Amino acid sequence: MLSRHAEILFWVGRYLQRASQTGQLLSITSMSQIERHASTDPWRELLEVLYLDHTFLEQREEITPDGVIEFLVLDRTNAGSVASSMIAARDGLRNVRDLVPLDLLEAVNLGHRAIEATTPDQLARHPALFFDQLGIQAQRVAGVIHDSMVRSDGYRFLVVGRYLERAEMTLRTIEVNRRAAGSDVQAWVRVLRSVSGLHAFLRSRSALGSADDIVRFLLAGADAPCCVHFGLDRCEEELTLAFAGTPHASALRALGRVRATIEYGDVPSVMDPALGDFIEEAEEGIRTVSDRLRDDLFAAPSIDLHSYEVM
Amino acid sequence: MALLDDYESPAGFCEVFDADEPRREYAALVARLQSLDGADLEERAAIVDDTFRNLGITFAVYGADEGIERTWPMDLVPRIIAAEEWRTIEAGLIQRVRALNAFLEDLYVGERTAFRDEIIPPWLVTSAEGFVRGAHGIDVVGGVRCVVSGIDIVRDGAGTYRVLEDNLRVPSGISYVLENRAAMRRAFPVVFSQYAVRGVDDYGTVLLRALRDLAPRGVADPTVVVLTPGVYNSAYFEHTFLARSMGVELVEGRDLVVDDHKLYMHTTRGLRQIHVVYRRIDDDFLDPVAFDRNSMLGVPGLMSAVAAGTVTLANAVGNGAADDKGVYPFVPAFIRHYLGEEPILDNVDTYLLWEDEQRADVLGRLDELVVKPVAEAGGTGIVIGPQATGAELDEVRRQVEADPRGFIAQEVVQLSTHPTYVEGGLNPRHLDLRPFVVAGRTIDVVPGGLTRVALPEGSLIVNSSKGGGSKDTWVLES
Repeated sequence: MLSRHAEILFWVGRYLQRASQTGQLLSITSMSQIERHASTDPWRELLEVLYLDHTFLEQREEITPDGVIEFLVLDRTNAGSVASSMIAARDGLRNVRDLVPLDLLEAVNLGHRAIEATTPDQLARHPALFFDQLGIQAQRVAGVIHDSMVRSDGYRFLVVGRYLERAEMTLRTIEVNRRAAGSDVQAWVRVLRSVSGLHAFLRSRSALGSADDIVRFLLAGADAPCCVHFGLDRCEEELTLAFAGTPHASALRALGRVRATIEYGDVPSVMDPALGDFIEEAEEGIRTVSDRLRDDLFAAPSIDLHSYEVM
Repeated sequence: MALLDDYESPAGFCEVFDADEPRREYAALVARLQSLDGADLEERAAIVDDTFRNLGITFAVYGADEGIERTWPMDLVPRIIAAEEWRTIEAGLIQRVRALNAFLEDLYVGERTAFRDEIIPPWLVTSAEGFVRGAHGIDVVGGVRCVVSGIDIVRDGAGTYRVLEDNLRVPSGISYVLENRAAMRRAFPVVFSQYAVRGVDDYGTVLLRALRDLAPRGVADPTVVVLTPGVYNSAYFEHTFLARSMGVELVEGRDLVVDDHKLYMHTTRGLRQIHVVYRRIDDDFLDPVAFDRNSMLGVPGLMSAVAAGTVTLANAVGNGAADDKGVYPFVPAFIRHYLGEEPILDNVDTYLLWEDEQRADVLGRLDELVVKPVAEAGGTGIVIGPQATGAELDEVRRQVEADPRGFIAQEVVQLSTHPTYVEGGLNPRHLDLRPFVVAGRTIDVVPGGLTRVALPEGSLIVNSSKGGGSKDTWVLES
């Protein structure tokens, strides 16, 4: 496929994932507020997970639940909001609309229209209802991708974008919770829920897991889609297929390195500051994969552009 | 009260009624419409709008506020064309495209018999804006220069079909023909099933077959692409539609490179050679080396690859010499000259303003005629005499006197009318028809085409950029 289209689909995957995961994080955070076992400042932590705490405080004076929700969902000046992510995904898809199934265009347009039709007022009154809807829209998008996309390179780059975004977000969630909650198991259970991983954890480990067990699961688990290791495995599979028979290898090498660290590395305990370093290294590794991918896809052609004859 | 009880056709030809009685092909549709009320139509209009929105079927309006996307305006009442009527139109279109193609071959690689035999003055052709000197001597596979043509036809007061304009460069609108059909099936399943309507859905197959027919000689399995100016072009939706329905890549200039007179695209697996380009970019922007050097849309060296015969461009470069409005009056003569046949479809009566006698006559009755600039498209600059103010007519007179080659004058054609859902009811609106002709080894005409409707009351301008709408167009099987 065209290199340009590959890059667009990669980013569409990232934006779609960002939109759905931001919604999921918001949903869990507002639910934990209601359940009254929140840590002291879940909304600030949420902003930190998304690297948006500074941006938020540049624009608004104080952190309030409604303010954060509106900022993260509807605020188009915030490039990381659900609305902005959906717009970016939709704009990207406009460039490649011939390459994806109509069902996918329709699902993304529906999601986008639902957000456009929501007022800050409605959002503040029924956040849970809105997040439920957002979740359904996201599942619909994921379902269409899985169900009707041809397994060609376009699908592969889209999926790689989704999993890389998801891995990055999970790493951030772990890091912020490590600093805020330490070994508080309840807080880690909330993290599991926020990445749709509680059920998987309970089935594959046990209800008696410690904070360390949860963190190791989220990082090195190989059998659940919420785990960083699982996501990187999938990326490796897809990129191997997409780059078969080409000289492109630098993204795959970078991916192998970060995957090996997570799969085979010793994950430090949550109370050990070394866990912070471990996560930082993994985040850096994933950023490198993204950069290498761009280099691979847009490598300058080895062609002498000065050899034209004018007709 | 039923929807059509109050309906009154204005002067001119009515597509649906003949002296208050529905024409034979319209009987079932009229009966169905009469069983509905305004609320039913409103509901169906909402279904259509929703479908278009969810699928992102919109078009950008140039000159409007940035970011304005309108959904494609499709009217709920389809236009129906009887089978035998269509057979005549189809034959006329094929004849016309054959003649136009023969003229272009003659002009660029032939003996220029049209000049030698004084069919058309040479200066008129070479002064056409779309005439491309650089296309001289460049062979085109099979001599097929007009691969996709959009020929605009109208119906005059007597109901006779006439050709209003030829579009031989990058005619657009076919995607809306197919989307209209899909939307109509959803909004009016019952009526649709009462008619045997000829399908249009195989357009992608027809076009791809034609494009593959025209691949450079010796290429057994050609790589075909669609070349678009990019996402900001108003017809971008159509470009993606075409790439999708043919299953080929939609490329932009920046995806392409020419090396050793061959065209390649950058893919994730390296460079891949391209053999046929269905280009949706005007000649001027194709190649900054050969044409406009400021163009960012094209591919440097593309014309050298075309000249070397390694890649086919569809449509060919230089077709603008044949669809220029100043050349249009001579097309019936082309048909006689190249094919030895009488034209099946007539032109609209047109006057040559560079001929002193005709110009004097036209200037004497400007208020009865339509004056069109030859170089504009999309309805821009057209002055309709009976509707113009004195000041407007004075301005036209001044312009025509300064540049007689720059304009043509035509008799006003009172376009036919059709019931159209506007202002909460069914009211008469004027329309035209743009059928699409696809030429490869054979020539196919898409049954029907894009019916364009002028939505403001009394308006004769149907272009979508000027507030025009569209109708699904049903050609009946028998």
